[in-house]
Amino acid sequence: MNKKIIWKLTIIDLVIISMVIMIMAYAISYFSPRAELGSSRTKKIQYTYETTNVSESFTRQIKEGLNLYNSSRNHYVGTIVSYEVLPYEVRVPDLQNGVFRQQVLEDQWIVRMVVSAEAFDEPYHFRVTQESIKVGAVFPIKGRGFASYGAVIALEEVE
Amino acid sequence: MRKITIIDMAVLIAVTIALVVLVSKTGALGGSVEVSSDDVNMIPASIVIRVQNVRRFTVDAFKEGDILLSNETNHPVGPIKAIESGPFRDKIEMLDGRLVMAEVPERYVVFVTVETMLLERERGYFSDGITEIKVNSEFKLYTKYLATTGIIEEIIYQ
Repeated sequence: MNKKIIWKLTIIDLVIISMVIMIMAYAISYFSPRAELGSSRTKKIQYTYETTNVSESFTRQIKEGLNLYNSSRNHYVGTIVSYEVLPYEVRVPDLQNGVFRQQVLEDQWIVRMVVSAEAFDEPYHFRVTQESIKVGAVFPIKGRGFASYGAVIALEEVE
Repeated sequence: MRKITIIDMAVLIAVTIALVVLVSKTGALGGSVEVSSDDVNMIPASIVIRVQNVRRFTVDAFKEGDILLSNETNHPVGPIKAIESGPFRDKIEMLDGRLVMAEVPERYVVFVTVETMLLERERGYFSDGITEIKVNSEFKLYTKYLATTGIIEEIIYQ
């Protein structure tokens, strides 16, 4: 019953293996942005990350100098240089007068953090480790003692 | 030497089909199988993309001359030639049942014009031969400084 299976490589196996390698190589080259190949200059950037609405206890965890990480992929995305805590505002329709009004929601806050990082300067991206930093980029963050969702709302090259 | 089995044949056929599909989908042969090279035509065009219900920082991150790319294909569409913005308006259903359009505070609509070359095929227009461009379709875009989503508002053939 204990037959030892010896797999001999045939010409058909070799053809299949080479075709699979060719398909993989073609797919990788096709789906990689062409212009980014060979680029690896770094540049210091500062960006502003705005959290979604958070509680007051969240705001007490934020400290200048803390490192930030992408909380789903665990890679470093920069260091907090400064931050401000602002009231959380929502837009509500005024059904009597037909206008939108901004209203502050009690006990809810947003935090704007200015984050500094050394980024790979690619033709179409600034990447901090794997994170592409752009205005409008949404990614989850975490630091020591806090985690939140949010988005980048400003980006500037420092040097 | 091992004989060719039915399994070998099945794998070989599957790999061949995958290769043909991949090549035809990515346009490496210049079009899908049923389209002859006579039907393919490159047209210079401008695309107008509407990005709406965004805040001021998104408006300010669009810059003329920046290359705009499709998030779906990661291919450049072309340089931004013009940017126009204005207040964003949305509907409110009043207490008496009337619908009115009202300005939304701190929200804007941006019209971004991009210059590109469109590959004309029987089934559509493809920027850079890759990114499908259709009026009224959602378009996830990015530049070096910005990522957002818009709607293709207009294609202007030149």
